[in-house]
Order: sequence, then structure tokens, then C-alpha cells
Amino acid sequence: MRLLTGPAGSGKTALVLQQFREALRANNDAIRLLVPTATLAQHLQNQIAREGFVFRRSLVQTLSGFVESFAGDMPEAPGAVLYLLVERAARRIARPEFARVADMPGFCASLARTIEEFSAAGCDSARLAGCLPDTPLGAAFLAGYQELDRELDRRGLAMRGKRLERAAERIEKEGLGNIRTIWLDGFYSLPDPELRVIGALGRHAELTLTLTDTDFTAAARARLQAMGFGEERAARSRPAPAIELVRAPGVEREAEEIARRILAHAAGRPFREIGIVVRSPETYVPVLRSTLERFAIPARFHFASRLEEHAAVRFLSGAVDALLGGWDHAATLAVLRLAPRFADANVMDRFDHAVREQIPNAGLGALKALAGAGGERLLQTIDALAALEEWRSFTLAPKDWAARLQTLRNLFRPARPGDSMDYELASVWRSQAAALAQFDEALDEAATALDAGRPAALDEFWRAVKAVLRLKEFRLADGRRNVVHVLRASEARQWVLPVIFVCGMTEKQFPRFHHQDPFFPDGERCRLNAAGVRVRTAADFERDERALFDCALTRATMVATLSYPEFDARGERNLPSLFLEGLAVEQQESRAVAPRPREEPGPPRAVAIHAPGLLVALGEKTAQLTPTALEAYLQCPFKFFGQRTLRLRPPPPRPEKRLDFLTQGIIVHDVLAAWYAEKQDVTPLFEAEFARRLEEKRIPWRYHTERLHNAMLEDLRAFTESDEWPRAEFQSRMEEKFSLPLDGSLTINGKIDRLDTARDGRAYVIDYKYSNAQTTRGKRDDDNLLQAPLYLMAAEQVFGVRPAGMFYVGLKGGVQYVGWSATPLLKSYPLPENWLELARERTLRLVAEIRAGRVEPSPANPDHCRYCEYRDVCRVEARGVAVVTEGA
Amino acid sequence: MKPIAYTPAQRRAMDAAQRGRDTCVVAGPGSGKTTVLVEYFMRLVAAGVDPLRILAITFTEKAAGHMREKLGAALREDPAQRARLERAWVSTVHGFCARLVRENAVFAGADPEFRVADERESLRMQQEAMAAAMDALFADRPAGVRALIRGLSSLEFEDAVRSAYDAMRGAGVSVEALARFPAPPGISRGDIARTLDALGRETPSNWSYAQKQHLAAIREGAARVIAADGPRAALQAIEDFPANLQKCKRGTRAYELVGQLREQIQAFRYASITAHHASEREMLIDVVRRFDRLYRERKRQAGALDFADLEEFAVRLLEEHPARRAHLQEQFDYILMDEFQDTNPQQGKLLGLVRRPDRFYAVGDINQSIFGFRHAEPQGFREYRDAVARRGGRLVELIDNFRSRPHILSAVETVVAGAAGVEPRSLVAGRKFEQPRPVSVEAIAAPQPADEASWVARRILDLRQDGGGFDFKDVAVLVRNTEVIPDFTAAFDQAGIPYLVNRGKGFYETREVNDLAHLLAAIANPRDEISLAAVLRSPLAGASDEALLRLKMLADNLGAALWRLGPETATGFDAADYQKLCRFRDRLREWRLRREYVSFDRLLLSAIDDCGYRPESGARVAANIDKFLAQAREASSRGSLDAFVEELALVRGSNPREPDAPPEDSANAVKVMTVHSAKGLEFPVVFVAALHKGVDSKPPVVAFSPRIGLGARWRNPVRREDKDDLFQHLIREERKRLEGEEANRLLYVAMTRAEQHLALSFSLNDKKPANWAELVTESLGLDLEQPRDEVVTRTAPDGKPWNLRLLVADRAADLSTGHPGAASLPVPESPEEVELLAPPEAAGQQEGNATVTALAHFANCPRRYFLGGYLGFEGRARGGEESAGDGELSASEFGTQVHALLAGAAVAQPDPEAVRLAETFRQSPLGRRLARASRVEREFDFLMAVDDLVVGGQVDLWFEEGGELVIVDYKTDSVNAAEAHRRALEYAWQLRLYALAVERVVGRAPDRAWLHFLRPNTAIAVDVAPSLLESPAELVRDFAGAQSKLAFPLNEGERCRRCEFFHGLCPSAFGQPRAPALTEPVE
Ligand code: SF4
Repeated sequence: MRLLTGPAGSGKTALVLQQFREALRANNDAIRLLVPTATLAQHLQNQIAREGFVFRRSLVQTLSGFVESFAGDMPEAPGAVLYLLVERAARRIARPEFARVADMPGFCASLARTIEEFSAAGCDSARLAGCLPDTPLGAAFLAGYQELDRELDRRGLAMRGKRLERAAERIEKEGLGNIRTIWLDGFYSLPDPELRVIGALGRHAELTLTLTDTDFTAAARARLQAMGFGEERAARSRPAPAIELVRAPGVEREAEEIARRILAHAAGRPFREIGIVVRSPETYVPVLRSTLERFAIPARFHFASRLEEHAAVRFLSGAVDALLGGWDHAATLAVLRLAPRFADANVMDRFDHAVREQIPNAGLGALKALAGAGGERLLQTIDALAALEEWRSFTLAPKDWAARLQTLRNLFRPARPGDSMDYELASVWRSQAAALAQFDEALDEAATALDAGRPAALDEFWRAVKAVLRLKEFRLADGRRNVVHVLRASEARQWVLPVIFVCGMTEKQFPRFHHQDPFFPDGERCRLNAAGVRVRTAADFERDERALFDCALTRATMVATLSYPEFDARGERNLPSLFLEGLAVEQQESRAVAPRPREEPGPPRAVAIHAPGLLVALGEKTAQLTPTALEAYLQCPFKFFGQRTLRLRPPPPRPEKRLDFLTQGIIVHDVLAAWYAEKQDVTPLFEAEFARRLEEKRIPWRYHTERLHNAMLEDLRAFTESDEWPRAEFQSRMEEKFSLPLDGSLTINGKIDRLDTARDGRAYVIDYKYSNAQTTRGKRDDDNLLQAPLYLMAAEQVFGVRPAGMFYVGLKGGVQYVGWSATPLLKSYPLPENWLELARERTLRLVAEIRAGRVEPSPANPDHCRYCEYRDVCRVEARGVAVVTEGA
Repeated sequence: MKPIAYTPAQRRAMDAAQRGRDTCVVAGPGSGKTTVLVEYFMRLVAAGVDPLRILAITFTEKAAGHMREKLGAALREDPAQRARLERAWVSTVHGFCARLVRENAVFAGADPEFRVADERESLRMQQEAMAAAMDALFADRPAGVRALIRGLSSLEFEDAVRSAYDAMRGAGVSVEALARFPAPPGISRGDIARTLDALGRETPSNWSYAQKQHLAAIREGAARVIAADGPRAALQAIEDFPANLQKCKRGTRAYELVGQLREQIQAFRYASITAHHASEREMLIDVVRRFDRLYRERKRQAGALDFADLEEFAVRLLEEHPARRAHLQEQFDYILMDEFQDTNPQQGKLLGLVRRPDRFYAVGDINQSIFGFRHAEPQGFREYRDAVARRGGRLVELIDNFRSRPHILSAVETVVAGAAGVEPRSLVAGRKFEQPRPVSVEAIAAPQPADEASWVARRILDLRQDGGGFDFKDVAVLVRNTEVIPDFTAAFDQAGIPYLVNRGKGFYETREVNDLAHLLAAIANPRDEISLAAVLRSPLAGASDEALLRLKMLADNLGAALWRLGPETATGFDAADYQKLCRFRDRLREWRLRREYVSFDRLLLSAIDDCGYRPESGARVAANIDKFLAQAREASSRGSLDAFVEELALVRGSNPREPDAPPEDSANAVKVMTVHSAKGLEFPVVFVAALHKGVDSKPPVVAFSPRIGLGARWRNPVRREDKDDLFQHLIREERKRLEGEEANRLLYVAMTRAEQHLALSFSLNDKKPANWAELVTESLGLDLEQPRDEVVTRTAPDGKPWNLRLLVADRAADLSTGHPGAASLPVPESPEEVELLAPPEAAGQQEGNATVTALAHFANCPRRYFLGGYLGFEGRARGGEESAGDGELSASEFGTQVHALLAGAAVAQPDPEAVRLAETFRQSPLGRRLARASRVEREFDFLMAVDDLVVGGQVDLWFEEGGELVIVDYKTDSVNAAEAHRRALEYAWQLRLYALAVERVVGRAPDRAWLHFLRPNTAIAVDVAPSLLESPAELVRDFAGAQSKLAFPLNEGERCRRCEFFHGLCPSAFGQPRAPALTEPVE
């Protein structure tokens, strides 16, 4: 048994490969080159094949693949299955120590992780029982572990450690067949079960093991020597790469800087010679993905995402959730929106709004009714969902549920690829296919984890599936060669590339901060180590981080660029990594870059309508106007443009927002019209009207509704109980609509809430405002007030009365009369001189302006902008919005 | 490095020899407390203390980072200690709690993988929980909720309840404890009765008749209050109580008693309101209870803890598990705590649980306690300080100020002398300034806020010119209330002064965030016209208003109209507009196709990069964009685009406290910020501005105080007015006092930020000076009557004279002329230089590996390979539940068995048919030849390279016999003879590639290749003679080319009918007219 050691880059792998090639040339296939990961295996296979060799693939293999033939009768429990089994084991043992946390997903995940760690270290529950340290959670942990081991045994499954042990036993006993020579390359941690396999291999074949100096600790040396390894040193060493250090303001800019540098390198070398090493994938992988794609840099990410996040899986699992939830419309809509063939469909967009208008609602029948014309495919999809309905009544064995649910993928009809596409689009399709396949796997895994003999209802099986989906990783194969490789720091050990970037060099990220294990803190771990159970301690973690860093750096043959963001996402300053402290390199600053835009922005466009054809259209659109519209224009021409000319509509409001100011106002107006016509108790009138509107707008009667209901009723009561207005003196007409021609091209339309006429012909126009007293009082000094004089004009010219005044009645939170009158009624103001004539002139002037195409955002009162629906469209910066007073 | 000369007090504070005593360091502003703390830590380490056995807690992340940085630098020479420092306990309170809870999650009852929800997320969860709680309560107890709604004086009480809840948690008070707070002892009927009795004993002899009448009415009224049957009647009686002191005879005992009676009866209202609304109050507590439960449930589901949870779980962990507590206390030999005055009661409790006696080292300053709104209670620090003093611990006062000029310190002392809440402590100037500055303090009074702002701008320009060497970046404008910020920014705009606002306009209101948020909404559903119009008008699309109007004339919805754009609708559009709209529409379509498959930030980036979106660019804008992109990126891992769009709409609608992205310090700009955010900072020049502007310190409709309990403001049932209950009444008074004190300290903190120059400015708004302006005017004796600009001398409490420039203006400052600097000033936030990069040549994007089968499929029909091999689709939908029944093998399982049997491998329980087929082969002529072969390879699973492509395949069998090299491939599916011949043609490529592999192994080309159909036992020879071979290299080149270009033509023919993609994913309509591809728009 030969042990080949040396520093990183000392050519250990090259030596192994040289011997391997010689064997191939001699037609010797009694050889194996074993490596730790599939990526490395494939990398070496390809390298050798490209050198012109034709050989059996199995000659270069992962260790796991190799032991398969010796432990194949004891299949490995996939991670998600293991988690489910741990979850159930924890439930069964019902330890009081775990009572508060047992149903928390993170608890079972940590329990499973620690158990896996023990198993990988060759410590099964029996062994642990023999050396359990005296720790508060030790006994409970052990009970869980024992229960899990029992369960795995029952199902004929095993964890990795056990399988390796089993393989080692077999090899020892039965030998290796015709295999004579074995090389093991790329291994670093060598836990006990792996060492046992290695020992067994060494007994039957000529064995060479390589180990990098950083991994070759004194402990490792002692163990390997004890096993009978003779050490040889590899001397040759690659020159150290140049090292650069860059600081960027934030992670986004750091990623951009990396992209910039890659582009500079790419001018002279293929992408495949460039790698990015990532220590904190959660922070960096998404931002690197976005950035590299943005700069059109082809890259392969050696990372998985979570299967449950994939849209195809969300579609399928959403369908089952919706089924179990009785086809709640919001949930079902969310599913339908994910159906691939609707991604771009107008029909679906319309349907989406139609459904939202009706939410809350449930049932597929009601949904179909909303599909509307042109929605045949949509109807088909809904029907396909309806076909699942019967599943709810089934009770099936887990395996049968898995098989049944595997037909779900028929619901996911991918769009037919068109003839032109780019790589990104192609990867969308590839990912769909891959996700569907992995969804099927997940179903099988869930079935494995459940009791095969016990039939279950859908929701029970489905809970297991969801747990698997949550835990299962999604990987999309990417076999492109000429790409930048984005690698995990741990995986980088296997690569050697001319140009390497190592990002995220900040404190706590690299070296990564390791929290203590909740079950066995560091002290206990040290004790376990002393007892021969090699689980990792804080010191191990510390050493590993350093090794990872050294290794990442030595992966580069030419230049290694380290980078870090100065600020984190919350704007706090990051501390640079401790590993940067010893480096004597000058720090460079990142530069601001962006991809060259496809199109340069044109000159700013005029904010006005000039085109003659459009001006004609404006003329037509403004032939009839209401005073409110004109007042909107006076507040701001753009507001008028958005509201009246373009009639921009927002998306349907959520149910609790449907009882908005407008609706409240309508209810109040209607109730008052009826009440004024015939004096009576206002409560039943209001109740009926309120209920009717709720029904019409599908507003659920919840707390919020109740609150508004009470307030409105109280306001109405206050009005009907107030006797400020001398009602008896007048005859009242309610809700009088009018059309008042102002000149040949303009008619003013409106509706007078109440017209009170006295016996002597004097008449008052009354307008209710369901707004508070202050807003109503504001009418008095409102320069933009047009409604009052125009209504008076209408009273005179359309209804033939003698207008004596106009009153606004504010109804919210107390009754407030504000008005103008010829007589001093209710503290009114005198009617302004020439009011009607001036209003008329002003109206005509405004309409001429509108028709001339004025649309600029120019608010008369900028304070009102914050309530304007168009404030996001007009691009006027609303002043004083979102003011924060600390300490208040 | 020059050794630092510490003051004796500092030396005492950092003396590690005294580490065995509890220590309290009272550190005034600018007294170098951070230095002292870090130095003390270092000295502990130097004295042999393991850094891992020191717990150091700071108030902010920034301070913790700063401390770790300094410690790191100091330990650089000692790599082992330096490495351990990474694990040292130097963090904020929350950082400490998070680590403690995580590492003891099982004991703490927390999810070990919890994440910490930030303020935004907690707010969202709280709002949802509150809505759900109210709905559920309403459903369960409608009458009770109705009564509550009617009883509470405000409809909008949910926010108030949430803030009371926060206060409770900060104080470590549980919901259950809430109900147990006793009602404060108000005035009782007995009190009133006693006064009435006393009044009855008075004989008002010298009262007039009318006065006596009134007195009788008073007695009757009071008796009615006492006798009232129930609180409502009492309230009515209080309402009717007539006491008018003017109608009573002054100077008599009875007069005094009437006064007392009147006060008591007024105060009795609080008790009556409390009694009247007792059941509503219970309901209110129920609201808190439900809310608490639902909020906890939500967090539990999300695996999240909020900041208050971190403290609560940590406290609970230590309270409930004495062993853990002992362990932890044992773990830390020393506990260092910065800014102790800013801890809340819960944190105080936590510290109490962690510390061992005589191991605590706290630094703080009551006078800088300004975080009452975060429930900080300076009382804790005061008690500790007193205890240290009492028990003879180490108490050190650092009074030397190394920050400010002496006159500034004198000004501070003069202003706050005697102010409530500020402890008298002198500030001793310790810093040496090289340049003298005769006037370093000024006060500015202006008539209106805009005038004041103009004077501040004016003075900034002047200061920049006055030779003091100040630039914009040296100036900070500190305000108490952000509402006034727009006045200042407007003036700065006018004066051309660059500025950075911290927490001005909210993040979500900025134009760039607005544009991007609407773009996402438009991608989600372009029928949302507001969003679509916002995007179309933005630089992202750049369409004109005319274009919008034209578009709207095409359809009743802008989004629908966009899809209708086409040559037939182009007329009327301005050509440039039309082009823009079409481009945008096309891009929108692409984004929509990808929207659920990439993270949302990628959609946004692709829109940004399309048009080089740089709206009014500046570092701040870029930072805001990055921040929004990060949010979008994060959201895409949580849910769908629709869900994010909805979430954004909610968040943006609820006026969130989301600050702008942090500014970069490097900009040469005036910083405008709140005093709170200036805590811990210092600036050469400080303007404490808008001194007249206070903050609303009235308690909300529902409020909590740890000393009083939960109070509320209710409706008085007998009158349309609102009234506090007993709790609320006391809370209101307490708040008034505490906030008054804290306001004084806030001013103290604000003024002590200045190093070289301090300006205090305010406006009068035609009124008397109010708030801080009042304090400043009075303490400095400012004469505001006449406009003036003069330097006056004032005397500090310690008798030192100091100079003040007083500027009383009667109009706005002139910002337009005569200022040499103004014209040449940089514009605010000048756009950053951005380098634009062209996309690279990305050649060779094909896969590096392929299987023989894939190549063969490709050779037969590139499209089939594309759909099946490249994309990975399965084609034809599966026919229902086709899981093979028990014991039955699927076709592929069966094939595998046959191959295994033929390879001589052991098969457990083989299918008899498989055994039969294997035997069939053995008996066949080929099988008989095999038996005679000199060299045999079975299941030859090989790799070989053709060009650059690594091809993998598996030859079922090859052998040498009779001088012939033969390849055999078995097929187990059953075919008829004619079909077999047709199939053989399709398999030709496969066998040719096998032949190539075998040739490379053996060194000569195979002579024959056979396809052996085991059902019905037919072997068909396939010609692999080299002369007939098309070059595999050529095939591989085509294959790579197709992948690189992503072009996979159809090869239509009879095979289509057998293809799993026919009439599905493949557009082939072999034998029929061609159907359109389905990625085309549907309408
Ligand atoms: S927000 Fe203001 S400027 Fe914009 S459209 Fe509305 S009113 Fe006009």
C-alpha cells in the first residue's frame, strides 16, 4: 500500500494518471481509478478518452459506485427518505427533551444531519451506546438514532457508513475478482468506514492512495501508517499563481467585477479555463447566475437548487394542494398561471383578472364559468384538474399513490418549442423535463419512506411527498465544455484551472462560522474523539476552512483573484476575511460596469399630445364632461389624462379593499336618497343597501367590513338625527341627473344629490360628501372648485329653479355643512359675484386646453399627489411621502 | 505607532488588574469609550484570558464590527489567537442571543435552523397575523368585537395594538401577565364622599344666595355621582356635575373643597371609563392574546424568529434550564457591555442571567439614552452604577471630551443646564485644535421653515469659504423629525449643495424602485394598466404619451392592445414610438415565457440592460436598484411572480419603514439625517436644525407601559368625546415625563456630535419658540425681537465665557448671487462613470459528452434527438397507471434481464420468457459461433473520443471467431420480419459507432455487425465496412454544430409515425399540412 503525499499542485494526480495510462496501453483492465465524486470521475474519464484511449467506463469510478457491487443488497436511503424516517422516529420515541421542538422541520433536519455525520464516521447507534458522553441530550439523541437504525434495518436500507462497512467486509472475505491495481485519488477526509474499505482493498490489490499535505494531519499519518501504508513524497511543484485582491461596494458589484475580469480574460483564453470558487452559495450563486447571464458569459453552476422551487413542480404540487383545498380559486388560479402554455396568453391574463374580481370563491365549476370566449385550452386544463377530483376518496398503498401521482405530469403539457431559441430558453425546457423526472423520483422516495403495507388517504401520502420535495435537490445536467465553472469551495479540490476567482472573502463567510451542534457541542465531540469516534470538532472546522482556502488558491495556475464586498445587504460594513490578512497584495477597487445596452435611450419624449389625429380624438372624448373630471384636470392635467382620457384601470382589488371610499360613498348616497324621500329609521335602509353591495362586490363580511359598517351606520345616524337643515321648508328631489350644454361642442353631465326647493322658488343644491369635516371645509377655499357653480347653473337651466345656494354636506365622523347662499343659512358664505358666468368661462378655457393636448403632470396641490392613483405613472416625485419619525 | 497618552481615568478604566470587580464606566460623549473597551478586552487577553471566555456586547452591528476589527488587528501577530477570535463572542445583543439560542435550540424550544426575520418580514407577518386574529375573533365572538369597535375611540387600533405588543415584549411581559396588571388606584367614590362630607360640615355663612344655590347643586351633583348605579350612570352624573368655581365664594374653605371635589370627580371619570369598558378591555387583551398566538404560529411555520423572540428565547432558555445557565455563566469569565443605558428590561434580565458576580464591565451614559421608543430603560444602568458605587466596585467617569471645541462644550452645558433627564456632568475639553476658531457656535432664527432652510444652505456655503477647510462632506444636518427634510433638500437644490439624505423619502417611493416594481407587475399581467403605463412611460420602454393614447384606442385595455400591435395597426403611430412599443412587446413576451424559471432580478436586469436604464443616475440610485434586485432575487426563491407582485403592492401601500439603500460615505455631500441615526457619529460641522419641530408623543389609542400595563382610550358613552381609562391616563402622564426627558438628552446627543462648528437653527412660524427652540432660546437668552447678526458672549454653568453668533433673520437668505462657490458646485450625486461591456464571443457551447444512442437519434432525425435527448422530454403521455402489476416486468426491466442473462450475470428470479430468449440466442448460429470464439467481450461499456466529443456506449457483444471480428446487438422487442429490416436501417449508425470503438480497441475494423432480434429470432447483418462508412467525425461535427446553434431540423418521414413526439412536441405533420408552433402568441 503506497501513500503518495505532497503539497497541492505537486503532480500527484499526474503521476497516478500516468500509471493508469500505461496500464491501458498494456490492455490491462484489471485496474481501477477511484475518486470521491462523480464530477471528478467524469472529468478524468473524459480527459483520458480525449487522449485517444477507448476503455470501459467502469475503470474510472467513484468509490460509492465501486462499492455498489459489494453492498448492492443494502441500498442507501436517499436524504429525503432519511429525513422522513428520522421525523417519524422522533415522533415515536416521544422523548420529553424533544417535546417542544419535535414537530419543527429544522429540528428533524438537524437530528438527521447529526445522525448522518455519526454514521459517516462509522458510529452506528450500537457503537454510540457504548461511548455516549454524559450530555443532557445524549440519551434522547441515542434513542432517536436507535429507532432509526431499527427502521432502516426493517426496510433493508442503510446509510453511507454502514454500506461502506458492509462492502469492506465482503471485499475482505471475497476478494476483488480480477482487479489487481487500484489508485485512490482526490480523497481528503477519510472517515473510518472509508478507511476500512481502503484497508480491505489494499489486502487484495496493489493500492496507491494520494493525499494533499493540508489533509495529511498527524492523526491521518498515524492511522495510515498503522494500516501499513508506505509514504512517498511527490516533489514537483507548480509555480504559485499571481494573487489579486479586489474590493467592491456590495455583492452585486463584486459579481459585476468578476464578470468584467472574466471578459478581459476571455479575450485570450477559453471560458473553460476560468473558475469561480464560492464558499457561501446562498449569497453568491443567485447573484452570480444573474450577473454572468447578463454579461452573456456562459457558465456552469455546479450547484443544485431545491426541487420544490421549480415551476413545473410548483405546478404539479399546487394542483394537488388546490385539490385538497377544495379548489379555492386563489390557489387554483396560481396553479393555472403556472401551466406552461399559458405563459404568454392574453386569455389567461383576462381570466386572471376575472377570477381575482370574484375571490374569495371555490370550486372548478365557478372557475370554468369565468374562462370566457377563446379559453378552450384553459377549459381543457380545468377539466383535467377536475379529473383528479375522485382521488380524494381513494385510500391506496404508498406505492400505488406514487404510481397514480406519476400520471400528474400529463397535466404539465410543455409548450412546443419553436424553431428559434437561445440557450436560456432551451434550458427552461430542459429544466422542465428534468424536474418532471425528479418529481417522479420524489414520489417513489415518499413511498419508500412510508409503510408499504398500510394504505393511506391522499393527504397523508401527500404530506410525505411535500417533505421530500422540500428536501430534494434539483440538478440540471449541463455538459457544455466551454463554460466558466462556478464551484463550491469543497468541490474545487478536484479542479486545476489557469484563472480562479474566490468571492465573498469576508469575516464569517470564509472562514465560515460554524455553530455548535445542538446535540453534541464541542466539548462532547472532543470526548467522542478521544473514544475513537471521529466526529468533527471546532478545531477540525477551523483547519478545514484554512485547507479549503489554501486549496481554492492553489487551484489556479496563473492568477487567483480574491474579492469581497465592503457592505452587506443591510448596509453594514463587512470585515475582510481573516485569510486576507497575511496576503501581501495591494487591494484594487472594483469598477462600475454594465452590459452594452441593446439600444441607447432616445431623447426624452414631449409630454403633450400634438398629433392632429389624436387631437381630434381628444375633442371627441371631451364632448361630454362632468364637473368632477374638470376638477381633476384642475388638480393636474396628467391626472385627467390617466383617469379620463386613458382610463387606466388598476388590477382588481383584494376582497378587503373592495369596500373602498368610492363604494362607501355610493352606499351612503343611495341610503340617503331613499331616506330623504321617505323619512324612516335609517338602520334597515342602510343594512339592506350595505348587504346588497357586499353581495354584488363579493366582499366577505369580516372584521374589517364590520368596522366600516359600524362607522358608516353611525355617520348616517348622525346625519339623520341632526336637525340643522330646515327640511320642512323645502320640497326635495333626489339624484337628479342632468346634461347641460355649455356651447356647441361641450355638454356638462352630472347628478345632483338633492335639490331642495322652497315654496317661493328658491332652490338649494345639496351635495353629500362621504369625507371628513376637514376635507369638506376645504371646499370653501378650493380654487379649483367648479362643481358648485356648474351645479347651480344646471339647477337654473335644466331644472328651471331659482338657485339660492349650494351646500356640501360632509358626513364622515360628524355632519359638516359648507356652502354658499344668498341668505345667511348655516354659516354659509355669500355667493361669489358672477360665479356662474366665471365658471362657464373657466370651463370653456379648460376644455380648450385639454383639447389642445395638454397632459403634463403639474399638480395644483402637490400634497394631494400622495393620494393620486396615477402617481406612479406620472413620474412626479411625491413630496413628503413615507416620512419617518424616529422616536415618535 | 506613537503610544497613546491615556488620561488617568481611562487608564483606570482599562486596568486589567482590577478585572475581578464589577465595573461601571460612565463615558461622556467623545470620551473615547470604544477605545477604552477594546483596549480593556486586549489587556484581558494579554493577561492570559482566553478570548473565547469573554462576552462583549455592543449596541450596533457597526460597533461590534469595529471592535472585532480592532481586536483582529491587535492579535495579528498571534495566528492561533487570531483564528480563535473568529469564534469569539463579540456581537450585538441580538447576535449573542441568536448564537445562544441556535446552539441550545432544543432547550430553548426553537427550531435549530431558524432564521432571523428582519423588520420588513416581521412587519408583514404581524400585519397578517393581526388581520387573521381580528377576523377569527369576529367570527367567534361577533358581539364582543362589535362592542370593542364601538368602545375604542379609534377604528384604526391594530397598529397601536402591535406597537403595545412590541413594548410588552421589550419589557419581557407576557400576554398572560397583561391581564394581571392591577388597575391603578384612581379616585374612588369614598374619596369623593369624604370630600363631600367635609364640604357638608362647612357652613358657608358669607356666601350670597346664588352662591349658596350653586353650592347646593354641587352637593347634589356630587351625591349623584357617589350614588350612581353603575359606571354609565356615574359617567352621566359626572357629565351633569355643575361645579363652577366662579359661582362660589373665593377664599373660603368651602371654595377649596369644591375645587377639590371638582378635581376628584373629573378624575373619577378615568375609573368610571375603566369600569364601563371592562368587558371591552378584556376583549382587547383577547385581541393581543390571539394576535400573539397567530403571530407565533406564523413565525413557527416560517422557521423564523424576530428580534424580540431572540431575547425572549434566550431568557427562557436560561430561566428554565438552570444547568444551561450555570454552564453559560461558567463559560464567560468576563462580560463587557457597551451602551448599557440603551438596554431594554428584557435585555437587562438576560444580562442578569448570564453574569456572574464581579465579572461585569459596563460602559454607558445616561445622558445619551435616546432609545426609549425602542423600549430602552436607562434605569437599569443607573441602578447598576449606584450598586457598583455602593459595593465598592470600580466606578470610573470619563469626562474628557476629545471631540469638540471648548466653546461647543460650553454651549452644550449652557443649553442643558438643569434640563430634566440630563444629569449634570461637566464636559472637559481634551482635544487640542491647531487653528483657533473664535466663534464655533451659532444660532439661527428665521420666520418660516423655508427661510430657515435657506439660511442653513447659506451658512454651509459660507463655512465652505471661511478658511476653516470644511467641505460639504464635513457637514451634517441633524433633525428630529424627518418631515422637515424636504425644506432643506429644496434649499440645497437651489443652492447647488450636494446632499445625501438618510431616511428621507422611502425606498419604495423612489423612481427607480417604482419603475422596477411596476415592470414586474406588468410582466405578471400586462392588463394591469397602471403598471403597464408606468413602465411604458419610463425609460424602460420610453414610449410617449401619444403612443399610450394611440395604444388605448386599439383596445379597451392597454395590455390587450399591446398584443394587437402589428402592421395593420401601425398607421397613426409615430414611427419611433411604434418601433419602441413593438420591441418592448417582444421583450415582454420573452420575459413572460421565462418568468417562473429564472429569478425575478434576471427579468429586471434584462430590461435594464436592454435600454441602459440609468434614471437620474447616481450612486444612491444604483444602490437602490441593487437593493431592489436583491429583494426580487430573494423573493423568487420563495414563490411565484404573482405572489411577489402582490406582496410588493401590499408593502408599498403600507408606507413601510424601508430606508433607502445606504449612501456611500465617500461622496462629497452634506449628510441630512435624524439625530437617532447620528448616534455614535461625529462631524466637523453640525447643524441641529428645525429645533422648533417636535414629535407627536401622545400615546396611541392602545398603549403599554411596563409599570402600568395596557391602557386604552375609549369613548365616553354619554358624550361624543374620548377618554383615557385609568391605565392610559397614567401612561400618558408617564410618557409625557419620559419623553420630555429623553428629548433633552436627544438635543444633548445632537449637539455633542459637532467637532469644530455647531449651528442651532429654527423657525418661528409666527409663534413663540416651541420645543427645543424654546429651550435653546431661553437657556441662551436669545433676543429674537429684531433681525440681527451679531456675536454675543455667554457664560457656561462652570463660569467659562463662550461666543455665540446670533443670526435672527426676517426673510429667506439670498442663495442666488455673490457666492463664488455656488456656480461651480457639483450637481448632486454626479452620475458614476460606467464602463459598457460588449458581449463575448461564446463559441463551442455544445455538450462535451454524448451517448451513441443520442448520436444515432440525431443522425436519423435531429429534432427527435433534440426533444428526447437534448431537452429530455419523454414524449407521448403515459397511459394512465401503467405500473406493472405484481411480478410483471416493464419492457425495459425485461430487456435488462435478458441482457444480463446473456452477459452471464446472475439474475435472481429471472422471468421465464427472458430465460427463453437468452437460450434462443445461445442456440442461434451466432450463439454457436460465440461458443467457439477466441476473444469475447460482453456488455462492453466504453468511452471514446470522436473529435472533441466523448462518446459513451455499450456494445452488447463482440467476439473474434474464425479470424472474423463480429459485433452483436440484441433487441428484445417483438417485431415482424419486415419491421426488423426497417429498424436495422435506423440502427445502422449505432452499430457503425460501435464498430469504430471496437476497431480502436482491437486495432482493426470489425468484419461484421449483427442486429439480433430475439423476438422473432432474426439476425440482420448491418454493413459496417469502412468503405461505406460515412465519417463519424462528420456526424459529430454536425451534432456539435446543431447544439451550438440550437438548430435541430426535422427529418420527416415514415419514422415519424413511430416517433413518441409525433403530434406532440414535434411540429411534424408528416402526411398533413403543418401546424403552427405553440410558442406563438395565442391571440
Ligand atoms: S401624482 Fe400628482 S402630478 Fe402625478 S398625476 Fe397625480 S396629481 Fe398629477
